[in-house]
Amino acid sequence: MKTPDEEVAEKILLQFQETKLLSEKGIKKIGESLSTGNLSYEDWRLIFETDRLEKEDQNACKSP
Amino acid sequence: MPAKVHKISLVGFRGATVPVEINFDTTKPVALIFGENGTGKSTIADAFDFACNGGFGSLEDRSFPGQAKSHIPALGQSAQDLKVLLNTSNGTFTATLNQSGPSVSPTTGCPDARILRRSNILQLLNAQPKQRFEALKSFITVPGIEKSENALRDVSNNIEKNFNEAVRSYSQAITELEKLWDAEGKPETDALKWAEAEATKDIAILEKRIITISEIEVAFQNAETSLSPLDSALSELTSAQTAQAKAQEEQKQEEVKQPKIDGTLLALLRDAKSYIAGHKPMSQCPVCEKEIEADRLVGQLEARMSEMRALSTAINTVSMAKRGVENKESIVFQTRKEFLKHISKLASAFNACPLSEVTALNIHWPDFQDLLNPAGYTEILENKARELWKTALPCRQPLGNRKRADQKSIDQKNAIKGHFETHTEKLQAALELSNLSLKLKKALEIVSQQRKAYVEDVLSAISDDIERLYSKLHPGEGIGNIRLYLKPNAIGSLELDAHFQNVPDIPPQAYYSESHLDTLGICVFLALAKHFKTADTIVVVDDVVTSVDGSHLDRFMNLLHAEATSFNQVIITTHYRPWRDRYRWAKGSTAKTQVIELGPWTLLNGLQAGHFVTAVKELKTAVENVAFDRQAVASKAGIVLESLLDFITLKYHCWVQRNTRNEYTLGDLSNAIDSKLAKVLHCRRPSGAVSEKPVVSIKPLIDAATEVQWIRNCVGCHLNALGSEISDTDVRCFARAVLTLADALICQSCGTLPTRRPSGSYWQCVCGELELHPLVYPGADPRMIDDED
Repeated sequence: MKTPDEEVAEKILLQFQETKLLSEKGIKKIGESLSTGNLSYEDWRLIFETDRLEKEDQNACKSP
Repeated sequence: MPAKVHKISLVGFRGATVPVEINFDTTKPVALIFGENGTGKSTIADAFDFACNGGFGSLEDRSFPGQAKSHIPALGQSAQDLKVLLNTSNGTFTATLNQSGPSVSPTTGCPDARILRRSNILQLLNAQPKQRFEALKSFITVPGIEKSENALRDVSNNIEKNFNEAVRSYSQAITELEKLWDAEGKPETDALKWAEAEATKDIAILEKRIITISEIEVAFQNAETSLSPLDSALSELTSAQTAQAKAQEEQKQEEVKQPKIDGTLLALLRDAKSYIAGHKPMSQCPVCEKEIEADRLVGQLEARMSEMRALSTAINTVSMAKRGVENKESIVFQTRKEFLKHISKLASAFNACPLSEVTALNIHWPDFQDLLNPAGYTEILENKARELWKTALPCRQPLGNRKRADQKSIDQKNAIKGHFETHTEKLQAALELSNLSLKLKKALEIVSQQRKAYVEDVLSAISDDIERLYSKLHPGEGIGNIRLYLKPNAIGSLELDAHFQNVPDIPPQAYYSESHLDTLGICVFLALAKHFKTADTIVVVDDVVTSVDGSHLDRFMNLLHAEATSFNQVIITTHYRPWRDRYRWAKGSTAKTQVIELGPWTLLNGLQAGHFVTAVKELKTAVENVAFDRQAVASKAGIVLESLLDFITLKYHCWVQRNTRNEYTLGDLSNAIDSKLAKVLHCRRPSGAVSEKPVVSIKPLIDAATEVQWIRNCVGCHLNALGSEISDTDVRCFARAVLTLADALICQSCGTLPTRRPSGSYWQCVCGELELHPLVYPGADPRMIDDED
């Protein structure tokens, strides 16, 4: 049985996915830590910055 | 397996001065522990708190800050002897008291007891919104998500701050560049293009020129610094030479005054005296070898030298002047050397300098070749140096001006470069941060919304449940619409609103009566307990009902019975006798409720947990008892008959002759059931056993019982002669007639009278196995009847 934290975390991650706020990889990194409160300031920052850089790299590769 | 408590045993715990066991019938969802004040109800509730929650129960609500532990053991007993044992469907748990507080073994699997006391109700309702939130925080919040959300908020705020800082920096940089661009007359098409061009320009030439000029300036400075001492030394030398010439002239004049003597003689005499004085005793002249008297000769020499004192002084003066000249000449030499050294450096710097300020001087360097590599430090060279100094001096100021202009130019270019780089760098950073900030804000919005939605959903579900429960207790009373909600834009503020006489959004604690608040508190508690129950949750309600009228008590009992199905077990304590009597007089189902009756507490005997029996069962036992108590049987039978007739006459609104005491005899009540009602009054058991009659007419049973009702007065109530003539058999007959009527009217399954109204045509017991027909007195309007009571 899921805890309330896990239930809310699941909904949050789903919405992240639907709104394409983060890549699958980024969402995976957030994973279980979201519900347990183990996502620190550095974690959030690193996940979003890495995601942005990776998207920029992908865009750079696509452009001729 | 759901946790259910079969037995709780208290040893040395609070009021349990003597070990006591209370057994629970786990087939019944509700256990009602009745006891008058001071019989130990709270001791039992506290024992559940102690064993299940590691708490000190009601002692925690009282003014014993930190001392509750010392008051938990029973009077005169030690903490080491204290023990609470729970026999449950999950095993036996033993709670003891140690240094750190209550300790339970085994540590897992013990039921989770949610305990409601009257003090909790007041705390829950009267608390400030913030305190109410704190009290329920652990239930309605998602702490893990909140923690992650706080970290995300920090990141989002910080990134936004960095973004604003980057925007401020590049805006400031462009403003500065525009100022510089404007000052330069706005070359190029815009300030940024101009700045980019300026930033790439080479400033090495300017820097090199500044170095060259700086070297010349140092040389100028050093030469200037060394020239002044030289001039002073030359001036002092001239003075010394003048003084020497004057002293020599004075000596010559003295020698002219005394032609026989001169300085040479004076020196000879001085030396002779010195020699003789130093070689005493001396008897012979060391020059002519004649006999001499040394002392006398020294005296003669001193006399002669005294005659030559003026000349001597003049000679000394000349000698000193000579030394002064020599000294000054030495200083001149040193300062000249220093000056020439610095002029030489200046000459070299000038010679190598291509700057127009220098070349415009048109120095004829062959004339100053000696200065470039000085071989000595002569006066001639000094004169050349002085000439070069005079020649070079006019370009000193223009060179300084050139240097300052160059430095200003470099500074400006550096500033342009710095501002341009800042602009470029911060603009890029702002773009990146803007993107990141938007994403983080969106993420924060999602996290925050989902968390709030969860909390609101929980509160909404709880509010709905509270409202559902409360409307069952107070139908049509113009109160209810209870709403628990978080105050918008406030941190941790849990509001509680309700309706009062259809006025919405009022704080119930300001308008509701005390009993309405009590029931509201119970509904809030039950809704919370239900919403947050676990597989091990049991509910203990400790004496929360103070005084309610009959209809509210019945609704409350029905509510508890209905809600008890949501929990493993509901244990209620009460001192409210009407509640207990509902079960005694078959108004409450003993099939669903176990009633436990507490006897009077004493220090010697402790808690007394006794058996509870219904009035009918008590009568049955008394009738069958070998040691037949005829007075008790007649009395009990009379009271049971009275209660049954009371039930029927009330249900059908029968006519009785009123009196001021509101007391009616058995005759009054039985006569009130007239023939019109008697014809149709019957009980029916739709699914009864074959041996049982499916339909039983009630009136004949009433007649059978009331026919001999006088036995109650004669045997059970008063002392009279007639009583002595009545046999035990007659008393038994009376009692059995009453029991027959009781068996017909009380359901054998649930033990209740048919007090409920499931349809429009009859009354029904709690379990539905017994029906009482009709619903109303023949011909009466069904809408006029009271609802179930």
